[in-house]
Amino acid sequence: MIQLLIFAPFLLGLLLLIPKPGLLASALVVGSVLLQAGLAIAFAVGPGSGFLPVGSFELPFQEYLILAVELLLVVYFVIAAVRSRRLLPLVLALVQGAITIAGEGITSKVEVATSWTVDGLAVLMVLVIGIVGGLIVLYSLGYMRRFHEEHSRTPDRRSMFTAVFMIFLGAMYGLVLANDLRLMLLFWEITTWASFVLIGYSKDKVSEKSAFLALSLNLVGGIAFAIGNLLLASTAGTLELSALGGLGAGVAAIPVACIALAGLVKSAQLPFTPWLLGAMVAPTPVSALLHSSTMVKAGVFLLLRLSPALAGRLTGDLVALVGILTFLLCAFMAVAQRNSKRVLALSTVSNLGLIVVCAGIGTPQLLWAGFFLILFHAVAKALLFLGVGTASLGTGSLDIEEMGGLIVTMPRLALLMFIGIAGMFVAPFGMLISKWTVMEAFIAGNSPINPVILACLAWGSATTVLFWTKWMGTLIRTADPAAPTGLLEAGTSRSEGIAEGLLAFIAIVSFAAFPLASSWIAEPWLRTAALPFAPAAGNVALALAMVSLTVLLPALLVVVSRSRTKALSTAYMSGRSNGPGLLFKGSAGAEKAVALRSVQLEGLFGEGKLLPIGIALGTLLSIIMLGTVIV
Amino acid sequence: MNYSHLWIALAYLVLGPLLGGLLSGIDRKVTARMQGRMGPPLLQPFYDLRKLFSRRIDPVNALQYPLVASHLAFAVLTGFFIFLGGDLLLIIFMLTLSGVFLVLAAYSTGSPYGKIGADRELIVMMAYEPMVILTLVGLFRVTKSYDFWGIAGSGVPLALLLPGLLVGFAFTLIMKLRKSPFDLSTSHHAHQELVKGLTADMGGPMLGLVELAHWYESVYLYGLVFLFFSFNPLAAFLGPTVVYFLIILIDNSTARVKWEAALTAGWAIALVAGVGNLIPFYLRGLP
Repeated sequence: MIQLLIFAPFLLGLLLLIPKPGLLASALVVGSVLLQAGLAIAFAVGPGSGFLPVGSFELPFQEYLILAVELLLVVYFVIAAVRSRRLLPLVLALVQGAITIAGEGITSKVEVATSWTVDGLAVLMVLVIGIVGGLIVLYSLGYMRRFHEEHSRTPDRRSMFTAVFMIFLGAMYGLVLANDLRLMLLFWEITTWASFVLIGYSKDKVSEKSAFLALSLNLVGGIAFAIGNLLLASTAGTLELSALGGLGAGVAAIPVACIALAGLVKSAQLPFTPWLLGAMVAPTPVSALLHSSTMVKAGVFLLLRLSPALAGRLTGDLVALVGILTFLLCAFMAVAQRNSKRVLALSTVSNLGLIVVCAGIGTPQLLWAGFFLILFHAVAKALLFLGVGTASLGTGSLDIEEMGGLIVTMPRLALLMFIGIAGMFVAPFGMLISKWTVMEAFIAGNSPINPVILACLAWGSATTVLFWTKWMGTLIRTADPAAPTGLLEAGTSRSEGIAEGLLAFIAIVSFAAFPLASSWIAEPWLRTAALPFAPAAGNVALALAMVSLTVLLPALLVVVSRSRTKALSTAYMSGRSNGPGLLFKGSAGAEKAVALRSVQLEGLFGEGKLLPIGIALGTLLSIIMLGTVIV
Repeated sequence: MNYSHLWIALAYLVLGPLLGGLLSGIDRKVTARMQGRMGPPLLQPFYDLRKLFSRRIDPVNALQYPLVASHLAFAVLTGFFIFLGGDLLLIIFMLTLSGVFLVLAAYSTGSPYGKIGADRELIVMMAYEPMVILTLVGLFRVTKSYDFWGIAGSGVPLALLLPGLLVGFAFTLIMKLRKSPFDLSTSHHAHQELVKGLTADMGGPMLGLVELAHWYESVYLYGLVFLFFSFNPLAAFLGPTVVYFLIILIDNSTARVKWEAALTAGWAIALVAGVGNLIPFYLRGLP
């Protein structure tokens, strides 16, 4: 079953390379999406495949296969770097290749008893990859057709695009199920390759630069991972992820720190955040995929897996500090942004920071919170990215200001985005349940770093409210009673509409049914990890009561948006305006139209100011993390 | 949760606005005396509210009423769940939600005046929220209880152990209750108002709902101040009264500040008085 789940997307991806974009290709894509999502669901719920069947099978010619694919990737990176004359990625790729070849003799000798693990966390990831990832592929069908209609100068490589998407999903399945670190590293590198290709899709200068930035930083992570594996094989004689927690601090300290660093890079924590921010130049489905179900989630997944080896140790505390720093500063930076994709990106990094904190401290309660942060963030963020993509095709801009009054021009989309944003910060939905759990865990804990973490949580939450609320406020602004409704909605393709609608539905279901996800998946996972935790029944009841009450808001908006989302009359203008639209009337008949812009607080929260500080502090913490284990 | 708490929570639903209205009436009376005036009758807020509800307005759009109603509903529910004995931190997030609804109602009109008020309200929310969260952290940490009744019954002299949090929390009340000098978003003082800001496009019954929400809010906010003094009956009466009086005094002796000052003040006090007061309880363990 595991083999089928992993290899089906790879084969489907190769198959998708064949047809030119058209009806046949579309049918194939839809079929592939359904097939891999079906496999994922069957894997998660099917008989005999549920929890803990731990596989020990090997891939055919596993040792050579891993070596061959890894070297192939290195060659690809080297050629790409040489062709665009970039030194840094070239050097890093060569180092990577050298370590792979030099370490082969050591790592291949290690016997691994359990190559694959299936537990609740893996099941969650499989479902997120299969369903959320699948819906994003589906969305890209319609989106990319419209994208190429608008960007006629970008070469149309859609077959390659969807093919890489499918391979990406396959690599993610492999990554989340692998217990053998050699296999995990293999899939890890494949995701690096896939994101490199996808970020550089448009083949212009900016995307090329961003693609290489992502590649370079992720190669650093990959190298750290490979070194970690090498050290682990030579000192501890094991390469099983599940064995790391049981190793003595002396033996495991350096490899664990190296592998944790790889996780921090992939999840774009400070100081590695720039690669994910740069990746925003890629077409929106790529961003959606990187942010919700693949890539960055691989990073936090690895850290959660490493958690038993981090918890209670200095390395873990430092990882948590990197996470909370990222959480705080990225929430701050999002306030000053008006580019919608960048706000989403910063919010992603910020929330990942919270998961990293959970992994670093690793108490049962925090792991529970990390689990749900992954789930809720994947669903809500995918929905938001898809919404932003559709909105930008409608309004012709990624600027949030241009989304002013979307409730009038694209009422359906505005409602879907409203659900997504609510999921990101409104009590008691999704993210907030997890954030609250995190806070209470730190209130009760006794470590001296707790007040620091709590303070960062308090400040980060406060700023989060600001940037999401002003976005919501922009969406629902009405001004002109004469404006027609639904003007920009007609162009939306069917695949976009279906994917967004389904994601919104999944979002609502997951908010309302989180106690089920907890008792079916999260709690069994924590029990098998010998870290039992279940949320207090009273709190679950309170949260559910609040969920059902808060659902009234979207429900109200649905009712309203069906009938009359437009303005009924004009706002008060000091008694001086009554024309169409809002006008300030000056002396001598001068008229000035009202133009509204959101608060940015650029002076306080500007990226130019905060990002360098964050990178400096993040670098410092990373160096200390590596330093403390080596010294 | 038990039944006596349920009765208190239900009583709050009915008596909350009466008490809140009275607090508002006393506020106006005390304010007048501070300014050397007679002031309106004690029940004037109720007369005002009746008048608001007797008017008729045309909403700017169909979203405005549901959003303002949600603002009131969540303000009421926040208090209800507090007195029912739910987890205070989760409930405080709901209080934020109530504020978000009001801000959204103002944004939705597209009015430039409403928007300025909404922007400022958001900034002020961002200014006071860290302190509110830190206050709860301290209360939880010291009493090991997460709900109103558990903390009230703990018998711990919180005002003495957590003076920084008390001062900081009282400070945030000035912001939360939109008192001068932090009444940036909308104000009762005409002389420092920009076309009524946040509530520029809310009139009649809609404004009445906002006022009602304000009354409900003030009751449970002073209820949270009471927690600090709940260890002693005399202190329990005097403490919140003194805080209430001081806030009125500050309201009458200061002029509205710019948003920068509000943000700096809110964050500085949270950092110094809030975090500063908390750190010992993590370094030395629990008392």
